[in-house]
Amino acid sequence: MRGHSENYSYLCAALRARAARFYKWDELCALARGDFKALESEFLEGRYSESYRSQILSSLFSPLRKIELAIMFEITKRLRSAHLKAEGEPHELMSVILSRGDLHNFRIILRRFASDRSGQSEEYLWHLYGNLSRDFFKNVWEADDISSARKWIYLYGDPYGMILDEALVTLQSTGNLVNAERVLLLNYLKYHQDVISKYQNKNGAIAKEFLGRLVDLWNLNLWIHERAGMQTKETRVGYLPGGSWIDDKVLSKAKVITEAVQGTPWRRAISKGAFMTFHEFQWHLQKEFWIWQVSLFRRDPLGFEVPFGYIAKALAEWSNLNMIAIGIAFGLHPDEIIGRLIPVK
Amino acid sequence: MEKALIGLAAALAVGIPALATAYAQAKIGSAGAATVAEKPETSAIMIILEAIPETMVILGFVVAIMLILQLG
Repeated sequence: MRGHSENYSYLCAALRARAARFYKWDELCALARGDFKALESEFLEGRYSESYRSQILSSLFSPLRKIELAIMFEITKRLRSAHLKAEGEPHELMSVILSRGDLHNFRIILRRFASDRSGQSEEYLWHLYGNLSRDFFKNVWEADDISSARKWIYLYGDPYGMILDEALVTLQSTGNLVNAERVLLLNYLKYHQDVISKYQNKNGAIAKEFLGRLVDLWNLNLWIHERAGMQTKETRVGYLPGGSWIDDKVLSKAKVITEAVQGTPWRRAISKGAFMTFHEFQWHLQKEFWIWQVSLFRRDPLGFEVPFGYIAKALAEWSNLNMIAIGIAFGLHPDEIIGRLIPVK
Repeated sequence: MEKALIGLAAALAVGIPALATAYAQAKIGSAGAATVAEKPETSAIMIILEAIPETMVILGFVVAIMLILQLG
């Protein structure tokens, strides 16, 4: 069955059935309107009970931390199991999409070395559904400086880890986090281009568009940072080539953002944000990215859209449940929490 | 010659729907297996869904019988 379309029909049917385990929008809103006790009892009795109960038995963390860990373990388990179910083309394309977990972790590590890390006592909740293991991230995270972190990367010997190595070198030599992130993203894209180029079909195009939209998002955020005065002439870096919808040359010349996003899916985020702060604007861009990913789940029942949408739904649930738990714990108003949830309607 | 053509038509009336049914059942079968594995309560509906394409062959078979009966 390797690489055959039958694998898509099997995989997609399995994932569509599994997607019923995700919380629906109304259920998420009900959780957000409840109190912390109600959330805890949902975790004790509901879909996350196995992971949450194992946290209760094995850790001495606060209830909030236990909920965060339970979500992390459960979603990671679901994503890994979905990945194992796939073979051939869907397996390789899923690897590309799931590597966003590694990219997320790489970014956290870069930020940790770019800033003062004193006061960080708890280990970061790594996204461990990609290519690299917890040991890798933990050891690099705990290294005293960039040179020691690089030693760990070489000791580990995984070619995927080298994506981070070059970014760390850039950070060490320039001290510019944005520049280091640019190098990180460039290497990340280069690494996956070979895999995607093998699949010159509709399914490969989805993975390609995902990477392209990542570039769009990074470029738009860079544009916002520049206009917000967060980038000086010395720290300014170039836009990334290879966006799906936004031409980096057009963006660099754009005086107002509407010029660059005209006729692209990103315009929806702009139209909502006529009088928004930069942070709100960034949130709307992120939200548009999520809405697109989740919407693909029901597009083609025999294509890569289903595993792609499943991954997005799983990660959106991770983010939403975390938002609800943290929001309730910090006493945010339910409407404020709901406003910060990724729409999974 | 006419008899040969009727015979060929009868063969095609069964053969082509059989290939189409096989293709459809392959897709539905693998998807059904996955769905039943995840949600065992859907097994009854999956059996029905798997059987629906079979009607194409049955209809083709009926047409073929009608054609063969014309041969006398």
